[in-house]
Amino acid sequence: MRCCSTGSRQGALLDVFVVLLLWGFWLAFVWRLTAGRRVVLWDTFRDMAWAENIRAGRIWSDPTHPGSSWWYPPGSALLNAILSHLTGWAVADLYGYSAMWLNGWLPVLLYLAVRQAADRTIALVTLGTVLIGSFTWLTHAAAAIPSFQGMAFNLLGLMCWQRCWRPGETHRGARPAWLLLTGLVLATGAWFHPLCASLLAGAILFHALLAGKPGQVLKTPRPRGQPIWTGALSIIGLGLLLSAPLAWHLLRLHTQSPELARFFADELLDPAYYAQASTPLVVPAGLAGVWIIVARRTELLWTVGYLLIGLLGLAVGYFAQRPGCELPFLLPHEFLWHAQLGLGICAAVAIVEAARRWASHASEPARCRQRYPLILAALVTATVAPGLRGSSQAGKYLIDLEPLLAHTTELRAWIGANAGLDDVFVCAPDVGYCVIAGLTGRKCVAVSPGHSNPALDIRARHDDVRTMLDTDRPEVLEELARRYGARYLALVTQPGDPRPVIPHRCASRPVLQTVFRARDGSAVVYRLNCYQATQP
Amino acid sequence: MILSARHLTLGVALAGTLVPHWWPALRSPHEGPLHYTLGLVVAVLALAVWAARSRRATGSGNRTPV
Repeated sequence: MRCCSTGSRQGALLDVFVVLLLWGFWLAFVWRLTAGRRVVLWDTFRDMAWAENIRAGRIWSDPTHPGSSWWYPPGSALLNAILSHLTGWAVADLYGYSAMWLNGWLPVLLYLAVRQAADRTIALVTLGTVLIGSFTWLTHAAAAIPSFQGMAFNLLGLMCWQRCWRPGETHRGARPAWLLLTGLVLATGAWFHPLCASLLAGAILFHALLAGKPGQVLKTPRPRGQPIWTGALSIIGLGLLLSAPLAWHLLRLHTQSPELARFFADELLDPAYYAQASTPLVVPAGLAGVWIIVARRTELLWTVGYLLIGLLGLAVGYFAQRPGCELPFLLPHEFLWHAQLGLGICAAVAIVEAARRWASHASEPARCRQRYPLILAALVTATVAPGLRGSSQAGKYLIDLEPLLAHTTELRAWIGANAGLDDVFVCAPDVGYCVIAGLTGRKCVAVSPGHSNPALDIRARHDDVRTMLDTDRPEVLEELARRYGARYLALVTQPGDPRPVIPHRCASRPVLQTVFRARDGSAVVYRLNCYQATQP
Repeated sequence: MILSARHLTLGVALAGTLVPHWWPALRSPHEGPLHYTLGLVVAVLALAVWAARSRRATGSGNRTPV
């Protein structure tokens, strides 16, 4: 890191120690949340389904519906599938423990990204203002979802971005290797989650435009290297080039069916999330930080860009909710995460600056040194500590996988041994999403809304699934099953429900043949005898 | 002058961001969050412009250039 390379060896060792300490704290935090159990978020089942398909050699297709194209960035599924292949761990294990091994990079890279441009105190205070000072970060920090884990690429990219320039050489002397690396991180981040990558690209561009002097550079010869804004454009150009196939595919898909990207989360109406109501002092501290950074700490300008882009994305989302406003918007809750990351860094800068100034009023240097840590501790406590009241809710979005895995052990074993990867199941959408697709990678007629291919007619599929599950007329079941090429019909109870599955109303008819029944009666699978292998 | 442009900017920025915490009317669905977010956007922009002008005036922005 730059601060370390220009500082002492002792300083570098101290940073390594801090990083190790952060990993320790993180593991303890996640262990406290999960008690060592595998946990996921609702969205994670979507990625697990794809990772199961990738493990079976199927990358570029919809992991849940046969014959459809992929519709979500594949980075997370690809990473987990590769690791599963290399380690032999089950996909469910990797995702279930990813709060530990993947999300742990977030505090570490947050510390290192800020440490590139600021001192250790600011980097450490940032951890408090972001991870505790933002309720949305507190409740999502352990979330096993690409949109949150993808921020690790942003922080890594910002770290690399700051390494592109030698200290004191804003407009020349870019390091080509670091430019290349930053571009590669940007592209990788885009394949992981494009919205995250767009924030990274925007922050870099903002930094370059405000720190650089394009007019001056255009008029004067460049002695060596590239000016900062040319460097930024090179990085963004490389990122765009390498992620162009992804961008093209997703833009085409989501332009035709924009419903999924227009999801508006309920938490966006809760002041605890959008206004940081439990830690209100973070906000004015962040604003003071904006002033300090733009006026005197231009090495951190990317932070202000990051904050501003996050706020604008969020504001567009709110605007679009007004009656009669047809503004296109994109996942505003994710912009909120990014905005509060930027605000937290700005707040840390202001808190440390305020403590230093306050302490410097002492008449003697020795007294100043004594007062500084006390004032800093008081300011950090006043700003961040109220957020600890929300720590009991840190795991509110986490879903314990253990009961579901235990409940479906027999069923999954049967599916793994008997059903092909492309076999289509008729089942309740949530069962399809979590169990059939999420845990085995098999295909379903319909899964939960919000996690389906937006190009499909989800509503019609849900109606048809309901009809197939409820009908007592074999001909209706046959016709719909043929339409979707369904081979099996599965009935599964909820985990914890001791009652056995109620048989299908056509169970005694020739159209259904029972091929699996769990010993505890929690699941039944019927083969649909109308299935023909040539069905699409 | 008792109230300078600097104080006014800071006052507007602080009021825009802190008021929603204590003004329940602004917490109505959609409108409250929208006003709050727009307040933050305006505050960030105002502070950034003010700080950039201050940096140019004093030449203090290049302490650590990147």
